[in-house]
Amino acid sequence: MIAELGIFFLILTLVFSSFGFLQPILSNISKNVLLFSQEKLSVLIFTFTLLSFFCLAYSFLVSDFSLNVVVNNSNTQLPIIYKITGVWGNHEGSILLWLLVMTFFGFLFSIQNIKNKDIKTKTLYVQNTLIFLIGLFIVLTSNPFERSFPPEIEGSDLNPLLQDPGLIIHPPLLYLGYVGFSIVYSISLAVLLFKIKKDDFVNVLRPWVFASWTFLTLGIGLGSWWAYYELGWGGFWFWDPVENASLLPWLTASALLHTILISSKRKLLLKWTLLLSIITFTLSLLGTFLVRSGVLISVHAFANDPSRGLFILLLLILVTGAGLFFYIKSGSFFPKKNNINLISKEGAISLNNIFMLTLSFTILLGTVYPLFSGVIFNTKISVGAPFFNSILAPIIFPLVIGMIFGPFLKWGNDDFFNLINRLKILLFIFFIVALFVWYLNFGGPILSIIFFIFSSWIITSSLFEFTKFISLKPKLTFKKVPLKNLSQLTAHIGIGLLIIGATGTSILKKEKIQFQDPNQIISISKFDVKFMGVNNVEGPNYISEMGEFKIYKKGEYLKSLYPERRFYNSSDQITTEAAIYSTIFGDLYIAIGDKNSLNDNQSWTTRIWYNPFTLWIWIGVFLLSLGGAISLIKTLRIKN
Amino acid sequence: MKLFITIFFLIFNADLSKSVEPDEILENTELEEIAREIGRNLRCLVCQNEDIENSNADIAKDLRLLVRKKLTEGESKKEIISFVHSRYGDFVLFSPPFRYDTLGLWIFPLIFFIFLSYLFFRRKN
Repeated sequence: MIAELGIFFLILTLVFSSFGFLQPILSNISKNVLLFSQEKLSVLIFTFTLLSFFCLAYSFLVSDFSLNVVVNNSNTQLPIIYKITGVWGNHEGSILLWLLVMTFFGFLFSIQNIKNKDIKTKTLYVQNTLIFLIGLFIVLTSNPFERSFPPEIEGSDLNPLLQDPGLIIHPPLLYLGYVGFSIVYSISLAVLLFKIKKDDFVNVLRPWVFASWTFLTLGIGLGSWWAYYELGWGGFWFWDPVENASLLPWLTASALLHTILISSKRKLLLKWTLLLSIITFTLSLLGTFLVRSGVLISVHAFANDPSRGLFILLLLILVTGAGLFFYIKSGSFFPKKNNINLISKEGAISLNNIFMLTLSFTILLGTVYPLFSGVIFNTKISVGAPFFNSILAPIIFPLVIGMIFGPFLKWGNDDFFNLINRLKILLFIFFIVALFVWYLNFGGPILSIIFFIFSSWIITSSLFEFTKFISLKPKLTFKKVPLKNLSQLTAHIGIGLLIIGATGTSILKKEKIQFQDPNQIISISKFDVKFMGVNNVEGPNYISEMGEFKIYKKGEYLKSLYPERRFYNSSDQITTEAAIYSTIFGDLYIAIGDKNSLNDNQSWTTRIWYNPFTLWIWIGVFLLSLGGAISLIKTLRIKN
Repeated sequence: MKLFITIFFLIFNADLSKSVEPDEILENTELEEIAREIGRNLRCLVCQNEDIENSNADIAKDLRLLVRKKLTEGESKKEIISFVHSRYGDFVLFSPPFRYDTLGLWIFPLIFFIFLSYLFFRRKN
């Protein structure tokens, strides 16, 4: 009964969202038909989708095994929290969540106070049409309310890897980011399609760009953190196609963040802003396509259904095609503006765009190239981490240099020697910092020293910018730092910390893999790790082999760690739960493997890593999001 | 991220924590370091986007042992990689060989970069 209600609400969503494109078409024929307000429609659409989502959540909660998705992704033994997260731990449910977020953004936009009513209505035309298309996709190919007959008595279980606190909020956050860009796309397409000749669209766009970017950053960061502690490999980024897919829109959105500064302040690159908005949402959709269609062999490719893939592909072509078509067709209805000088703030932001987009393009190319070479040349190649790492460096360095000096450049036209002259003190500080970093890492790998120096320069230059707001004469006073500067400083320092963390974790990590006897001590970095043995512990729906390790530093007991291997009752699957002792200088990371079958003395395979500065990655991601949030607050303040 | 694992999980019923086993590790730490470096460039052929160092599949284990055996016999990193390449084909290399069919991987980003730079910095009258 509840399930039928769910599909009923979904169809209502479909009906009401169809007015998004029916209204503009029919109102051309006769002025008097279909005079619904798109704002009111958005509220209705959101309400019905939410109700439909509740119906699915309810079915999971009461373990209604007459539904296919519930049978395949839930189990009566499952703790309640994972019954709920099971709703989006599968294809059908996660696309419904995608739709819910999309209608939520439509709803938020419809209640936002925007002076230009024209742009509002027309944006909602586009947004509601997008909602219609995704809704159609769900009803036709991915109906979560499909019954199984006869009903099963017990479900097969949620994938144990997904039974994890990190994955409770990772998908919703990621989707808030991905799907938030649907509004950005809708605004941009509306401007192009209906030729709204006002450059104030940038101000309408801004809060949505910042909000979506912030969520996407948090979502990616959280996923990376989960991969770090759950997969038991001691790494945090694997250049997996699905990770790449989330990075693509993030990179173009980061370019968009910076471009919006120029377009709102200098009225430059207005059309380019629109194009970036369109590209960013297209890449979000592409990410979904790559993940969902299983077209790329990835650890995530579990939804191999060609009809779904085909539908998403068509959707992708339609959305991209419409965007590009009206972009080209709109011609040059924005006034031509002045040239951009390389040595200026606009120049630096342009360079940021060029490198961000090149990076995004290269990652996309590397991700899909094996497909193309397979079709065109009939060769079967792999493009993996070594390739991505090798192309990353030459693109990252110019970006970092731009990040260090860009904020000090003037708008319009600046002079290189003048800049050097202005930054004499900073350059001297850089020299000292470089020497200091080099001294601290003396004898370490040269690459890590270079990365450390550059990232500390980013942090130093950001902190140096703060000094602008401190005056010494006549007495020491602190001026209020404008939010604009504050958000930039926070985010840039975040990037600096992120690079330090990534460098430490990937280049400087130490590893000890061995059969460890009880009471045997393994020394790694400054820690002594004593193995106490393994106990069997029973969890709610699994049995765990839980190792106990005592951590000492200079003979002093610090903490006990309990890494596990969990054997899930219902699905015969095993997961690793690494145990991590985090300090500001590095993480002690322990995972256990099998019992040594060669002898009887209770020795186990233990993998112990020391990952320098890993914590800084997560702090960096947090500061990045904080920077985004500060920008969001600032743009919302302008409005009011 | 690694959200929707795992066809491979279902097929191989894999335990992700397994990878390099203690008894595989060479006593000579320098050689072991080179072995890791080689391993990171070789794909586990039956896995999804995993190198042989991080995989528990039998073929990955065999390759790890092969790499280490050849290293102790004095072969260089280059020789070992080209041996594995000739035996298993291009698919085993995570960093594709520089050839006519892979040229696009390096050429297209360059063209893209030049094109974008032109778009931004051309002189408009």
